[in-house]
Amino acid sequence: MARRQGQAWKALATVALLGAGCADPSGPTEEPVPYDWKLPAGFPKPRVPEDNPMSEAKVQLGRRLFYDKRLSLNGTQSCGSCHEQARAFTDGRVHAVGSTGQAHRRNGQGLANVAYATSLTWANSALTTLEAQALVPLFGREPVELGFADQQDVLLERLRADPDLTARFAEAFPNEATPVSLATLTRALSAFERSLISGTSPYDRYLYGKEVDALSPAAKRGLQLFLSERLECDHCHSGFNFQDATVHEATKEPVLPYHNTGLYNEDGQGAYPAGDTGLFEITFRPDDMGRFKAPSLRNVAVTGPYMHDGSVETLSDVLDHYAAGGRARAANGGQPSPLQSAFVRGFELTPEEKADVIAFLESLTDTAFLTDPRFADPATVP
Amino acid sequence: MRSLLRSRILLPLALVGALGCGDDEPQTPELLTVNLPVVARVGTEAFECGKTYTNVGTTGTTYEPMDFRVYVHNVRLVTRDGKEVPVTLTEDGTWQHSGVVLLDFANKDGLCTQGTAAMNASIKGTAPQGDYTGLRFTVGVPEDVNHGDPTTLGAPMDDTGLHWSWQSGFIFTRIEGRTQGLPQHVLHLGSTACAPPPEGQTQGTAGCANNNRPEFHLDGFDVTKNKVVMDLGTLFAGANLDVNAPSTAAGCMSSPTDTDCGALFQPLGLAFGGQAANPAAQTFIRAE
Repeated sequence: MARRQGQAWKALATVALLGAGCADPSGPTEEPVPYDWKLPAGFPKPRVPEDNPMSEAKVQLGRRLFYDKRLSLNGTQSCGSCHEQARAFTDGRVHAVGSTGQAHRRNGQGLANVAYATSLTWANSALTTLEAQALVPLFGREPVELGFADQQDVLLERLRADPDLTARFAEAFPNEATPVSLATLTRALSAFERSLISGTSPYDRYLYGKEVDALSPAAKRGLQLFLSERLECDHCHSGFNFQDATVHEATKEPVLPYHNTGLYNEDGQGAYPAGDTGLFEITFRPDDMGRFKAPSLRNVAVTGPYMHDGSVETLSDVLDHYAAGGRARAANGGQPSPLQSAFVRGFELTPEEKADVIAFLESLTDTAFLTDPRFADPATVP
Repeated sequence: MRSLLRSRILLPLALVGALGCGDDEPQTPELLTVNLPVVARVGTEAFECGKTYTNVGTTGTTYEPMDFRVYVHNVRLVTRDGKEVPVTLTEDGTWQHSGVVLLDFANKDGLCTQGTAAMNASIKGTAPQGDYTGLRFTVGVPEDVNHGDPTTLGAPMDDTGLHWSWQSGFIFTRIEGRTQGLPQHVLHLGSTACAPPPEGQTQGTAGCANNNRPEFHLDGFDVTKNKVVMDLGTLFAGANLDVNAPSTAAGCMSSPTDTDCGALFQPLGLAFGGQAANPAAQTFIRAE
């Protein structure tokens, strides 16, 4: 499979080169080869920024860069170091750890179906494209992730010193006078991230593939509970991507919802711990205290620990948090935080029902996605 | 972003128009070349990386520079009768672009390890000839540029060291140094409390509650003789540079919840917390 794609990619590259030879040298004339998303049944086409159209060459370059440790200043980490495919591109840690060993205050994010996400970090309404987001790990100072703050020239010189990589940049960005730049780097990484589509879980085979037996009876009961008014899960984890902050090609108006789920209530007024107050630290609107995005639930069984700060260890604990109407309520005499979402109001589940909901959440695990060679490190899976 | 593109398209068209129609060509007013020196100081002394300044701030601490860069835009001259005339900045591919100029007083000496060795200490452009008695400009980059992509905006907006990737905006001033009390004291000025993108847009912001773009009016400025002085001595005069409010950034990164910002925002004329905006209190920049 991988080999065939590799050949197809080479063939495309040859065609592109021939095309360039015959074309009018005054400008690009050939139509770019449309990118084949290989979208699962029932999945809408992702929206793509006008200045970063998808192409196979760009995705392949992005994949290479994603796993390239030269993308950290000290050469110890790549994007893939904190985003492991087998864990749906999370890292299994409570808090992510950067290339210099500095711990992040937040839990590493999954990248499955990130092409559909309107919100790319846990709580930043100003950061709405993958291209812009890529600058955060590369150049962030607090915390240090990949460590290139004030060293962008070192990064570019390092990449330009590799002739093979430079040629791949030139192929992926044929109209760029300077093929290796920050703009092409962030665009290639983003194109690869957009290609990470997960939609062949048992749930998908059941719903879209009409495979009645793809879901166990327990998972089917769990699905009904998930959608019930009693649990209210699907208000925030809604739609095909189980995420309310979802956008695709046909979306008229993308939304950027953030929610306070009552994890903390430090002062009885809903305050979150001073070091991590959620959307509030961007907007300084009092209502935004403790608000974070709802992540997609796809592959959720392999992305623990959970919540923005990794403070909840298992799916069972997550359900306990919501059943309690917010973890912080107990410490506040049973009173909810005035800031928490109205949908986090608590419920009761029998042990059997809880097992059913977990069975449903586990049916969102897409093993093909977790092992797809197209998304793997090209050094180990060419 | 959009207006940038538009202005780039319009300019060549205007040139074609002017060249093509020789007969009814309007009389071009004589142009005044504007070249405004901007000098950096710490009190009475010239600012220089590698030097140590004494008696800075309320504690009279020492200050060893680590960085000093300032974005400026919206440069205008003021006529004797009070009319503002925009200065058209010269595009130089490095320091000036799209009406924005980056002033850079830090080379790679001493503790100044960031940015480039090259420096820029002037604002260059043209304006129609006139009888000018004042200079006005705004510190920062304009709002429509502020939320653009630093990887495609072009120099001088291409330095990620002057961009808050997490805030999706630029650092209008990057002023950093070491004091007796703090291994690093920073003043990063930038817009905060920014709303999500406006309706119908996926990028940018519908507006920031704290724009933090101070406007400087230098009255009585003689374009042919005077210079602009940016003085860290007066900027820091009311601030204690030896201590830092607990659980906040080292110095002031413009957070409305960082009490270290109050004393630094005042000489910029900016509002902070209960402190109202007060252009009369501006001492950071003056004419000489």
